[in-house]
Amino acid sequence: MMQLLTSHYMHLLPLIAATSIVYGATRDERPIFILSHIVRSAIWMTVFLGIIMVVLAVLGWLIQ
Amino acid sequence: MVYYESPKNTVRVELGNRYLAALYAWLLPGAGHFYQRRYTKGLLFSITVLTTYFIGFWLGDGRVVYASWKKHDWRWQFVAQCFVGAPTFPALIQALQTDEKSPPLWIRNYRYPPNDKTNPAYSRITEPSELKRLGKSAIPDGFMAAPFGEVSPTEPDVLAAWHAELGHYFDIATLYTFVAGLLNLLVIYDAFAGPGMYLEGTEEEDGESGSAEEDES
Repeated sequence: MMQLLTSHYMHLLPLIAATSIVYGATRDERPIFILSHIVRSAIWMTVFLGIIMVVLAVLGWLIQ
Repeated sequence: MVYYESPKNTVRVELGNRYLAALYAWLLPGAGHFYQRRYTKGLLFSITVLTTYFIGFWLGDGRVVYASWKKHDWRWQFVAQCFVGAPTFPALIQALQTDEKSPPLWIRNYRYPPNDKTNPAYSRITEPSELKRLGKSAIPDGFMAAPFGEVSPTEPDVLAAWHAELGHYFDIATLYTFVAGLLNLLVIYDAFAGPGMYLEGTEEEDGESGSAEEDES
């Protein structure tokens, strides 16, 4: 866990936050709906990147 | 006057001169929305895009945003980075002013030339006396300028020295500034055409995507 927290993956978190905010805010004009879009964008982006990370980790483990 | 209307008319946004708004949005992230008096979104975009850009700029020690069309250093990432607008203009000025022989503007530091026998090639010069000794053979590093001199895929050069000094931060910083540019592209589009409220239209059968319309009133 500590290895993950200190890894380069942590650099993705600000990028996910920024991308979710901007993408979410371009979907609506009303603050409450913008907030909803931001949360949904952050979730699907995190899940999507998480799946890629797991696939790469499994491939790396198989190759070793 | 141009207005954006959402599919169910729940949102109506005054876009003003949307070409001008898009230009402002490119020049400074969020400025297009301020022009349209969409202050909350303007502030949100401005803070988010500029913070992402400047975090990247800081991580990369100000070296990852530069324009270069050299043979082995075609900086395609700059195409996305330049969508952040004014903060990338110094790189454009450097690209127009500097070539293989003329030194860059706003020099930050100098490096040892490859033929110097006393110090590693392309390492930073820290002593003023060394700079005096080397004279014009010292290699300049300019603010937001491309690496000076030729870039080789096999031989040591200034770009290789940057990579050695910054390590993986060179790529992470490039990614941050690159993403900031792409995000501002979305912001520019939002200023030009209004929000993309397609989801509102897909909830019911009669929904259609939002549109920008001319209104005489």
